[in-house]
Amino acid sequence: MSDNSAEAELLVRASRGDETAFLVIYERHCHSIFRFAYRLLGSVQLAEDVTHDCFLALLRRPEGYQAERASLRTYLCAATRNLAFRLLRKRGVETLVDDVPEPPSSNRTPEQLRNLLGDEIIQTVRQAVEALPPLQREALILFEYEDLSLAEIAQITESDVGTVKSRLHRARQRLRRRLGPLCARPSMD
Amino acid sequence: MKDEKTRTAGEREDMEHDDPEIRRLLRLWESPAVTSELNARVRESFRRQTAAATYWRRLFAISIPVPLPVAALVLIMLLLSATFALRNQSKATQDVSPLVEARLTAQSSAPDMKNDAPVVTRTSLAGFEPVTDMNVAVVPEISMR
Repeated sequence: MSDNSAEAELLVRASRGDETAFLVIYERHCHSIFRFAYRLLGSVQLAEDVTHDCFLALLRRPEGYQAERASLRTYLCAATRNLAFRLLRKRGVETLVDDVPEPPSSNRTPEQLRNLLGDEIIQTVRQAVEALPPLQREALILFEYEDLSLAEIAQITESDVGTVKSRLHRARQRLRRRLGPLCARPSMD
Repeated sequence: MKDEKTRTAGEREDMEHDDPEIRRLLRLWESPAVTSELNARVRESFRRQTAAATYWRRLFAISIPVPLPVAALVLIMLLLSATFALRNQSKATQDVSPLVEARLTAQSSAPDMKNDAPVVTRTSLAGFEPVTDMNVAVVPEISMR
């Protein structure tokens, strides 16, 4: 809790115009916030916009963060999620659906998938993650890429641990169906 | 990313459904780094936002130190000015010329000549004493409107 209190203190100073305090907070969290936004939205430009808006919103309303309830990182991830989902809804994407019918699998045969080159594999993985329903995608990103605990993910996504586990499980199943042939390849390392 | 051993008990429970091969593939997709343009943009917005907030805060928090004797003197002068202003206002309503007052009285007590019967006035010169020294003064009619 002392880390949370220290960050709350920095936030108060930043909201009063202390640039040094603000830069400490920004440097500490901008990378994870940007990564999360990027993988959620699939666009560098949109991720930058969301990251920018997230930190400015934090300054406008510092009293919104309560150190006794969560870490600042959790709070920022929740804010990023809300901003990103708002953007997705503007583009007509339904964000509150837990599961959607799977789109037709890629045109490639399993044999073709196995023969993909490095960059193409990365693109295929990226497309597979972006094809996940938003609620499954955010759980997967926060667990696999941001190393957050199930409890933290539940807080960010305003759900419970059981729901987060369920979404993770279904996300992995979808990815397995889509990327299965790639899993049979030897390691690229 | 975290080593499996550092995960909490709840996370290890989730690891039952874990898929190491999918994780290996997922790790191939790296995120681009935060650009210096974004950093500059955020810093600039911070300065703009806090400058505006600071300006208004300073404006409403501004204070002018005034010595106590000066403040007391100003307050006394304000009170005296207010007192004189109120007094002048009430005096103005009482200060009516005797001629105007007489006219007002006459007007208020004069009978309505239009509808009444002809007035008969009887006069008597008993006790009449002529004025020895007559001074005629012409008084212009004062408009009562």
